[in-house]
Amino acid sequence: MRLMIVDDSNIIRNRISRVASNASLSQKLTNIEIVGTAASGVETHTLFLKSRPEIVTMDLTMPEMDGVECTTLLTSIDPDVKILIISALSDRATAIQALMNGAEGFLYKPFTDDELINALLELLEE
Amino acid sequence: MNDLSEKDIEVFIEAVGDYFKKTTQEAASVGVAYLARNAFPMNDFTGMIKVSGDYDGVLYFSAPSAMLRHLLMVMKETNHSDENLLDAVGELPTQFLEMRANILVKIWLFLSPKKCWIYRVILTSKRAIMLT
Repeated sequence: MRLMIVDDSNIIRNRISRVASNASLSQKLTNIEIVGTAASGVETHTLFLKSRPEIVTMDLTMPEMDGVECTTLLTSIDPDVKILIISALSDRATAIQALMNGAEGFLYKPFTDDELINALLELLEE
Repeated sequence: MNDLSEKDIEVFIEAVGDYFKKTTQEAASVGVAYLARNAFPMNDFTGMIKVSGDYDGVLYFSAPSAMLRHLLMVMKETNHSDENLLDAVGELPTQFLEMRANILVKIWLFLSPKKCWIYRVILTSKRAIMLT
């Protein structure tokens, strides 16, 4: 499965990438390939068209274009893409809005490695 | 503009405690909270995030580089460059605010994620970087 990581924090992008890669190597997650990372909405759009990921982890608070807008954009390009929102936002209305706009999962920051792996597994099982 | 109450400050103390407990598996020891009206304690790296609403202002998160390096180590991040320390000191206050957004939005501020990031400023003792 082709995974793209969207977050404006470098350390969060690295962490998701590291956990997903290690989980794939240890076969907790099957055949995850990181196809790219993006730090803004514009980067996300360009990279999505170029790499066509099947799964995307998406931050909500980002400059230029927020995660809800990015989710709407990506699902309009590919309705089958699976999007996992990863955010610390505890505002339920925002979470619901993201899910209504096409996201399929929500993981709260801060998260443990196991929580991220389980969230990705749940997403893949859907 | 209103003053922060003791209850408002507790919201942040809880968020800070929850963050470190989840991230480092250790409960954070929080000292006595106080309102610094003039002088702000500044460590090696300081993150600042603007909030708007009735309590228009900024949230500072200031930490020595050793603490940030430890935090990155716990997160298994091997790159401890200044760029990543700045990233950490900007990400933490954002998460503190977001973690209590459900309470904060209702009781005392209008937190716009987009505005927060537009006005997000990261400072070090030697330089200031405006992120837009």
